[in-house]
Amino acid sequence: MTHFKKLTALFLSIVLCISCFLIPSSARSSLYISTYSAWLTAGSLCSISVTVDVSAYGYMDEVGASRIEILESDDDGETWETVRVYLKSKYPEMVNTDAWYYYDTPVTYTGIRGREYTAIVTIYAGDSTGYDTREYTTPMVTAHK
Amino acid sequence: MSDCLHGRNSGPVEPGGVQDPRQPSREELMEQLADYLARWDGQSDPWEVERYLEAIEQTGPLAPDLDVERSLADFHRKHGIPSVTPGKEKRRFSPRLLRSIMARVAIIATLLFATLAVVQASGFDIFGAIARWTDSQFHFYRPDSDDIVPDASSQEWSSLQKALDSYGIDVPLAPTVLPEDIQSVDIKAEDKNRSLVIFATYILSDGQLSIIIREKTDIPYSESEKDPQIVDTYIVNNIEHKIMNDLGRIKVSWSNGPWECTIYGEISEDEAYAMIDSIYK
Repeated sequence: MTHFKKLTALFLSIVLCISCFLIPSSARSSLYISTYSAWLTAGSLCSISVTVDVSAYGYMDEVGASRIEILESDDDGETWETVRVYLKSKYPEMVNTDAWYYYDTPVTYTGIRGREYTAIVTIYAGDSTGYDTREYTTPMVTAHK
Repeated sequence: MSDCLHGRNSGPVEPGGVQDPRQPSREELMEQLADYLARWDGQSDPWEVERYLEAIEQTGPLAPDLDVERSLADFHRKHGIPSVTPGKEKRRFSPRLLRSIMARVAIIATLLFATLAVVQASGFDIFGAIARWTDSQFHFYRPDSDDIVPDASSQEWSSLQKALDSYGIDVPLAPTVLPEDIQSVDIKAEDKNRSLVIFATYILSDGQLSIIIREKTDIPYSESEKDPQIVDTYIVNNIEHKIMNDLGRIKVSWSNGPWECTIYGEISEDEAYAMIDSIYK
């Protein structure tokens, strides 16, 4: 009986390890999201514009970004602090409705000169059958005058 | 002895307390002071010396070349009195005084923070503003000063090639062969922060075909969802075309110079190859 328990524990451990590798690969496919990217543009007067580019598989009720988190660093990217979060529920400009793509600059954040910024963008596409999301981290930019 | 000089308005009075009808001279007062100091036992009133000095001063102006500091030092040295430098004198506060000062500082600090809390609660981010003061320039900063970039107007074209031509793009990017029974819906271009993107939408008999041409100069390439395996890498015109599958949909992705192109939809692999070939013919 003890031998059986050991075998069961070993089997479950192996299954758990394999599932850890399977989850990322299965997450690479999507029924809703096809391609996506996002980037920041440092403009004049320390403005940081967030541009989001998403394409979906067919027309969606909503496609775009469901959440944009702006992070700031004053030590060349060693540490980051969240300074602003935008949600599509408050900023409807972050998504297109009844569309298969979204390409826009929905928000502009005013930063501090000399500090670095990055954004974690939650890509979103969904319709009546469901939705899918992906997290995308933009390259960092430096705010300037 | 302390009230000896009270009547000095009427003239100098002998410190010994005996009224002297004659006004003592400076020399007499000096002698009396010397005698007093000689008899001084350390227990007598030390202010008596001060009174003698005031009485001496009233007998006439001090010598113009008198150095008060030097004279005081000589006086201290002569009589063995330790001198005290005013700047080095240590002031000692009583515990009661210290408690009083600390109580006042605490009240002021409490009132200050209470005021800041009320301002913060009123909607003005005063603590955030204070944090921004560490910047090289002083300015109040409002985190809510965001602006929504208005939607750019879009143009429409009857074909993908016409859209490319209108932007002066002479790189072969648009397929001339499309699947049968396809219907063009719209071809639009968006020009946002440093990147032009052209979207072409087609309707198939059982789905949709999408073609996206993105200008990628100094912005990141797109992430593309797909099944784990790449179906094929198809090289035409020295350009690698990645043919992928994503949950039953065929997707083709390649780049040519600054242009990142993606074709995807409910098409077959053969239709994908035919479309790729048609781009360069």
